[in-house]
Amino acid sequence: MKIAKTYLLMTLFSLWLAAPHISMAADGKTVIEQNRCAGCHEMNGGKAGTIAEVLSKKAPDLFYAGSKFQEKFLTKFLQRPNRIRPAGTVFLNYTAPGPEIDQIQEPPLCASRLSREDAVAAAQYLMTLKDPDMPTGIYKPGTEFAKANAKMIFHKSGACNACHQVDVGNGDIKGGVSAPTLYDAGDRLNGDWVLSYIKDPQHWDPKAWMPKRELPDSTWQLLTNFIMTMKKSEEMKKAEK
Amino acid sequence: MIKKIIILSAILSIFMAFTGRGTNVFGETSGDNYKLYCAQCHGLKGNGSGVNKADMSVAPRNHTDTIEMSRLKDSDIYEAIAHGGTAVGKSTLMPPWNGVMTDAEIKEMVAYLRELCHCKGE
Repeated sequence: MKIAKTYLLMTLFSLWLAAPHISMAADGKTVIEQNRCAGCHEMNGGKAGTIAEVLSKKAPDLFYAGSKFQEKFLTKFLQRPNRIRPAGTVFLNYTAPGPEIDQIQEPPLCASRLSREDAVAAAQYLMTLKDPDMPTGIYKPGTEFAKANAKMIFHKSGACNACHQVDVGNGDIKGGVSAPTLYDAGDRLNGDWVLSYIKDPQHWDPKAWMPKRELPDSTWQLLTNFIMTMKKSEEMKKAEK
Repeated sequence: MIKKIIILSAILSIFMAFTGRGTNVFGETSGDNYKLYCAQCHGLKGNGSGVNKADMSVAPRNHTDTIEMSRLKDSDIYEAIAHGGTAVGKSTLMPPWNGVMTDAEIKEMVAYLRELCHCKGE
């Protein structure tokens, strides 16, 4: 009888311990609210329409996170945030004039470190925030494409690397710093969103400092396939550990 | 008479507000557009020292270089901004901005570059 009573008490105690985690894990929206993510991230679809509004941004928009990101990436990032924009969310806010080259001044990383349970729940919730108008199913992972041609467009005619950092081989990172890094784009982003964004950046962000070009759909698909092959090298993964 | 003066002053004020130096009637000044779109490569002061310069194979143009900028026609500058470096036989690193800035904004940007270089075109 005594053993049964002790067992029952221990079970109840275990349930009590687990209860807060269960309730938090069940509601990713609450996790987002409790961590005040909206203090830095736009969560409700208010696109920055003027330069003044762009400058007031503290962190990237998340109201279309479910269209933009991969859930696996979000779950990992929310536990261990890392810098994706070398010069901060808006490079102008953290750059000062320099004689040879303008200097980036330690941009803050506006991100919380969540527990695994909270990160899973928050990522699940963020994945529900989608732009219903974004065409889906266009990017097909694993599709064969002319990689040499795509590379030429990315590095030469399109000069995407002027603003984006990429891995030029064996973890050697080169490229511009005013825009998000792309060396792990294939681990981080949704291919359909990449295609939509590179085709019309201003649809997503009216004051994006990325040029909008008129190119054939086949070229956009080629570039998307190429960008989605960009994944963290073994050297980078080792360095993270 | 006083009434006429007041009306004329009001019309003049509105006209001046819309044609202020470097101010686009649609909202952004050419100086602000320069900072957002151009400074990432050409530098906050326009001296070709943007944050992206380090890994570029061709250095961004120094817009404060009076001698170099004097050699360019306004039409060349317009073409380079609107359609990119290749439109004027220059680097592909300079992208076309006609999908982002309006024609009026690009024309204002040409005038802004002339302010930066303190020069006129050939």
